[in-house]
Amino acid sequence: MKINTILLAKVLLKGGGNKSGKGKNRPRWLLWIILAVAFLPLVAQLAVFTSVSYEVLKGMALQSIIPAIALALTSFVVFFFGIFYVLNTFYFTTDIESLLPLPFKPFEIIGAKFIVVTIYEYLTELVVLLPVLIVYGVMSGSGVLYYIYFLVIFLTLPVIPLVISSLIIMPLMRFTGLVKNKDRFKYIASIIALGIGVGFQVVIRKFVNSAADTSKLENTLTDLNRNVKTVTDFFPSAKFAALSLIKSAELSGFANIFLFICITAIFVFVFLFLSQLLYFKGVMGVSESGSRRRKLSRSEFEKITASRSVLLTYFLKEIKIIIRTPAYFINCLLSNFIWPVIILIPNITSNRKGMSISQFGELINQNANQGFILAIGFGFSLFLASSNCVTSTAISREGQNLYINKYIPLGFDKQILMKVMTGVVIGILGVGVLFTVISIMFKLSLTFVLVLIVSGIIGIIFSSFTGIIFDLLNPKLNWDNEQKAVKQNLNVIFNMLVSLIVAGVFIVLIFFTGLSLIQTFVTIVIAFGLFISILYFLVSRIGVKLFKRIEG
Amino acid sequence: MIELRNVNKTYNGKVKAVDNLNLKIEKGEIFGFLGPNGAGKTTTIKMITGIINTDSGSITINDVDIEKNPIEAKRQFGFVPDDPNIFLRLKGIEYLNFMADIYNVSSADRKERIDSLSKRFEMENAIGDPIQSYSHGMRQKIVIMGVLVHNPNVWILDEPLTGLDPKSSFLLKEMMREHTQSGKTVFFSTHVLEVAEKICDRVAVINNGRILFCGTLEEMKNHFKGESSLEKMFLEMTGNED
Repeated sequence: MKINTILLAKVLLKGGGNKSGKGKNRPRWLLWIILAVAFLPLVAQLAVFTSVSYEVLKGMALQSIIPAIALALTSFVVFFFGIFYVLNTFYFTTDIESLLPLPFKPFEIIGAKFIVVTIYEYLTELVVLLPVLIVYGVMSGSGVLYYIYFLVIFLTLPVIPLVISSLIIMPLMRFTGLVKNKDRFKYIASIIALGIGVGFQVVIRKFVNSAADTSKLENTLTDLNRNVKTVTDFFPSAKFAALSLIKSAELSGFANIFLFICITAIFVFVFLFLSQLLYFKGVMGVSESGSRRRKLSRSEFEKITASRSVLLTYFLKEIKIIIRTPAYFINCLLSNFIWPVIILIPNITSNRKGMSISQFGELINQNANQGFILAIGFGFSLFLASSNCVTSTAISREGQNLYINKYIPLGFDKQILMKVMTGVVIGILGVGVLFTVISIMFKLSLTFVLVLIVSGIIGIIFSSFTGIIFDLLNPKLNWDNEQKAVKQNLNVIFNMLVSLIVAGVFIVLIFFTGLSLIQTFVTIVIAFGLFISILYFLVSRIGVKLFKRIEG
Repeated sequence: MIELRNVNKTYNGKVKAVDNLNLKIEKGEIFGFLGPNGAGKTTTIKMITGIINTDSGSITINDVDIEKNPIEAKRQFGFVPDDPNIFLRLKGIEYLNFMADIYNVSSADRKERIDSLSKRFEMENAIGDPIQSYSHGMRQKIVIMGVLVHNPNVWILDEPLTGLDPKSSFLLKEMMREHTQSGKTVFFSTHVLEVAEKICDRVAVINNGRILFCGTLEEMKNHFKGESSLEKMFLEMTGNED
């Protein structure tokens, strides 16, 4: 039976990856390199932050709270991601229908899935935990045992937070009617997660900002120490793991790691036992979907069957599918509002800073450097539209049904343009919310707001076009669940990189040339107007050929 | 009318899926396209409908070339794919209206057709629900309705009867007959030989990308003297290949 679990885990891990059976096999190492590059700044920041904190805390003889903080925070992050991994891997996955008829015991299936999720979480640990504990180990001059204990902790730490997330999800799936409407459930879960994420962001911001200021850092760290207690109360095992690292040179270090492993093992057994009771009944019926089966009233019928122009109907189809597919809703629409929130929250909360918000607004309104601020606003719109992945996955999202676009009598150029249009409209929604709030908060002048809005729209159109070009060049059509069309899609990362580079170069150029507001605006309109015309030409000529060539 | 002239298609430069295919489907006939799995039926249909390109040769639908004038050619036909799992996130009626918009069906026509089709296919209580909630057969029905809503001149159907209940299957066959009686064309692929035997005016048998036979069932019977059933003739033809 153990063998069953491991065999199954292997199969699931393979299935979870890129199943690009047909066509070119994209090199996976490329994905890893891109991911590494993307996370490197964060890893470096954490490492620097750790070393600065270590020095400060050493002065207070408090340096040993570093492993405690790191482990507690990692446990929390694992728990947080765990909720989604558990939902998606345990329940909302298509493999479950082929697994249920096979002669597996519940705990074998869930054990295999648990292993898969644990392995995903190692990636989280690589980014969050590894840099902190390596720096701590080096700076404290710890011995070999520290690193051995660290390895053991690294491999086992995700277990307890994941068991806790599973124990929250499994009874919910078993006893509530949530499964009856899994789409709605996913929406609610993602919005709650966004809330938690924002809260988490506020905390992180608070202490990362204070890292620059040593006097504040002390306060923040004491604050944090208090918060860590709350977290370690929730994940008591993290305390033992931390103690084992801190006292790795002593016998009590061994006692603590032993205790940590024991607690972890107990959690695993409790989890397997409960999953035996809860899993199958919860997961069965998860693939059913809700329906009413009643005749439409005359007025409903009349309303739905109103005739529209071909382009509008195609555009609305795109929007409907994005809104109604949870994976698309989260990645294409909701993600649009995450960045604005991330940018706004610290500005709203950090009223202790030297300058008040309205003073900052005045600064923008009066300062000669308005051109530079406009460039930042423009660069942000560019980036936002690329991060919402509407156009960079527009073809990929069609998946195996791409052929439908081929036989309907609507020109490929028109279809592609409507897909770009979808990206532009959704991008404007996200940027619009942010710009409106900023304009009101900073009491910006009307001229500035107008110029900002027009530039923002230009930025959004630009990256919507680059996005669709990436997706036309190499669409990811072989997926078995919608999540894979938008996540694990390299085109999104490519487009974000291009947008970041273009935005960065533009901001730097404006900074060094010191152009005024109007000069910057004219530059944006002329330069990017030209770029967009070229992109439009490329999409409507070469794009159409590429589209025609894609044979699913 | 559908006409294929010297059509070739090779996958990945190696596998010859369709080999110098010539076919002419006349107005007013139900044409059955038969062949074992992997014979080249779906590839041929995909080329006719413009889903994939031909390597060489030409395909016209009502004398409009699918490669030279794709939009006009696509307006000539309605296509029922073999996989009905499409637009699952849309409601049935939204899908029908989408198709009506795409094919420029007037508001009055579409209302009348959706109304009568949902009655005939017994989908009145289901069209307000997402297609995701439909059974396989219901999905098949909604796709067929999506074609009929724009009342195309030529019907192209890939395995249209798979998954349909007996009543809907009978209804579809009846509709095919009505359609051709008004001088229009039906082209469909099938594995089910009895169906071909009962409703087709002419059939073509394809194997390994080549047409082995094309003509009426009468002609086929004359060709295979002594064989009484289509099944036996079919097996003999496709079995003797390779």
